[in-house]
Amino acid sequence: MVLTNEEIERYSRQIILKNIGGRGQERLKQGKVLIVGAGGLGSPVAYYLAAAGVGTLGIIDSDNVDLSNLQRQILHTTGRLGQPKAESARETLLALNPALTINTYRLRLGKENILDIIRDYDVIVDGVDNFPTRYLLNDACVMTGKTLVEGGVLQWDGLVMTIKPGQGPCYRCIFPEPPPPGAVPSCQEAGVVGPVPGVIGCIQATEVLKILLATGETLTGRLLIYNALEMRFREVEAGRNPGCPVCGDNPSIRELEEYAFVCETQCGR
Amino acid sequence: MKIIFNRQEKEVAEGISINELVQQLDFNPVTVAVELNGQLLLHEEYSRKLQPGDKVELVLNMGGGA
Ligand SMILES: [Zn+2]
Repeated sequence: MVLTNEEIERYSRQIILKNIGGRGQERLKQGKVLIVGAGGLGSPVAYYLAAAGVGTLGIIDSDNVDLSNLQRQILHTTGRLGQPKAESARETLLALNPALTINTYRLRLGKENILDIIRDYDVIVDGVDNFPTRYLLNDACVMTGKTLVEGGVLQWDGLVMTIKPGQGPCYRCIFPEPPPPGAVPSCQEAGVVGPVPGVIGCIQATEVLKILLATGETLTGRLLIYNALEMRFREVEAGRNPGCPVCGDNPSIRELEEYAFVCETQCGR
Repeated sequence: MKIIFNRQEKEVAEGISINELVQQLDFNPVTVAVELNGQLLLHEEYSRKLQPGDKVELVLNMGGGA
């Protein structure tokens, strides 16, 4: 895959880096990344990956743009209220970088469609707003060996980790089961400060670039925890849990299961 | 006895377990991960009793929002 003169100029500030270069830029161009959720996390992830020239981006979101989204979901605009988020995302990303392939999926991931969709991508990014889809994504990526870049936010806090099945812990190694309904509030219930998913999403995008470039060290086997109110980052080491229900030595989950969407508020809709 | 919880000294009952501490702090143990002296514990280890001076931090399952 040869770069055009326009591409060399557009990406010159990163091509100049010795661990990217022309070869690295070609890898990014060939890269296929699936971003699940075009919300507070998915927005900066998709925007920066599009800017960096990741050739194929998949965007999954079943929602429409709502006024209350615009405080943090920077892919969308006031003029696109009521439009499908996946399409709004596509419009913004192509305006930034028209050469990219943007695949949109206006659907909710479930055990019946997830394997078909993730199959076509190199890296999956979790930017979902509910526990059922987060656990479904984790299980599907563990079972198919796909790298999953996890991110979560609430109020002033954020969490990010990169799951490489077989090389470190998965989400269930840390949090074995989704919390029971109502035990953890959603952003709709408890709120979130706009730049917090911005920070976490930018870290997720950086992880994706390093994975595609096969350079540096990822957040595998360690969780990065962010508190914006105290402006602190801390790191916690975590290993694979041999008793993990999905990636452990004797997994109890061998097929995808579907977690019920218990109520509207729990799912942050 | 004194432990360090979220970087601050905290007085807790002698021999309190991780589970009891988490519940006392009004968290559901299923929804948090617990870091003890820099290492993340497995949920199976939450019955472990704390020692004076132990450093404990909670990691919340933040999967519910974006
Ligand atoms: Zn696991």
